[in-house]
Amino acid sequence: MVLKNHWKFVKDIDLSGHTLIIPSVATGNVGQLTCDLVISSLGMNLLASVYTPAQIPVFGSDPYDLTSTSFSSSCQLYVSSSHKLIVLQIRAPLIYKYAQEFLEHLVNEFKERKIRDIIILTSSYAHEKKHIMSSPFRYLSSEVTPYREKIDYFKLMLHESHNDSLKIFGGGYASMLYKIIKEKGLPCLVLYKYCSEGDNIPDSYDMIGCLNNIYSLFDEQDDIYGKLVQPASWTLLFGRPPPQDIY
Amino acid sequence: MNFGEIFEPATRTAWEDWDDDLLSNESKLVWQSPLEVPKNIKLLIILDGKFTSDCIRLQKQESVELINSIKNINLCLYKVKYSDSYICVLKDYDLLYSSEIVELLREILIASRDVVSVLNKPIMEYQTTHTRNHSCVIRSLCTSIKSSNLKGLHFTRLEQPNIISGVTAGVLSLREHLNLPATAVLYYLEFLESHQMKAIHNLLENFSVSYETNIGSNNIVNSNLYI
Repeated sequence: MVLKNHWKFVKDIDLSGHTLIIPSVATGNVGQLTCDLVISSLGMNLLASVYTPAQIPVFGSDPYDLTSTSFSSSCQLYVSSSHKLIVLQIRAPLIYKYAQEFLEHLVNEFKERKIRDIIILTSSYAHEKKHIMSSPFRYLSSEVTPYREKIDYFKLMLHESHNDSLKIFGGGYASMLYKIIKEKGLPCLVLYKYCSEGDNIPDSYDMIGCLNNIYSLFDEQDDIYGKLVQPASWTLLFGRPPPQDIY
Repeated sequence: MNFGEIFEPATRTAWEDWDDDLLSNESKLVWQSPLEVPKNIKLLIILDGKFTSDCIRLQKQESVELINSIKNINLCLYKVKYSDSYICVLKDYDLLYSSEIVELLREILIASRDVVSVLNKPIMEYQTTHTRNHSCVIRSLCTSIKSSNLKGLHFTRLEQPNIISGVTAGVLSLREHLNLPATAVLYYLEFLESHQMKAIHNLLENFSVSYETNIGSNNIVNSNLYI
């Protein structure tokens, strides 16, 4: 099947020099939860949505603003011009056999728009963490990265590769996307956290803290956790209250 | 989800194992015969979901004609006789095939002036803070360009944190990106009762489609016994 992707832009904005954050659909959905928090807390605006047969389709109301009449779908792009930041929120898994082609399409599209770099947020199985006393965060970056100084300053630990193949177990398509971005010559950073399935909201708070060290989303003086706004779509994450009729 | 069924939370990575190199397989979904799509279709009605497709039996009707099907996903496409409308009935498909099914319907979706999809889901999947139990909740979702053909299908918009997935979601999403109108009517049902499906029946009647309902009173399902 030839992928027929459709982009629908809400407005036309020059994206040159912007940083793009993409989550990978991974264990505990930490990357997606973090992106939700970033979009909601910074009050980012919808810039575009993407339809692709490479994703399981989802559709609903606006997940961040209950009064809005706009919609949410599997893949939507949000922008904060003041932070020079764009976030591509992925709300549904990619279908493996079409993933490579779709991810290449995405990277080409953003490269044409002259973005500065890409940050991939993902997670890995907690049982894969070998050094149990170390930080739960790992990173992986292209040789050229605008975050080298901050990575060294905050002593982020490098992803350990045991052989030539790049694997982040439980990390979804993060390694596939990283390889594509490297091939296309764009600076890329993968940031991931070891975690387990369950209530992964605390993991997303941790990740936004780690991300803020590298890419300044909030002022350093601010209490960033006090500034985070959970989106409306997070309500009833663990189901509805029990019906009264059962008592 | 049935009563008593254990629901184990798992993230969506469980659907396909990305840690192994999966063999890339081409789509196995094909129409039984080449699909001939007329240039202009007045309305495409999609009945998506087991209950919806089971409760409305179209197969033996004189008002509709089966024109094509995709067997391994139980998809049937009917033409409404004496009208420029089509009905697509689907049930029991793997969610991973959703976007491929939408692609197979792409030509007919583009040729349709309007699309109405009726989707049913178990009431337990409807997320609400209300503690009062309802046996049926009806909601709708539509594209930015509104359907003009609704004929009584006006329901409250599906509220967050509810979201839909599958073919109906794909149809709305594709039509939205093509700037075409589409509406989804969502039935969250505990069990089927004829009055709950009245809106669907009215819709079909509006297009001169007669139907057989497959709804009989089921004392076992409606009882308090464990089965």
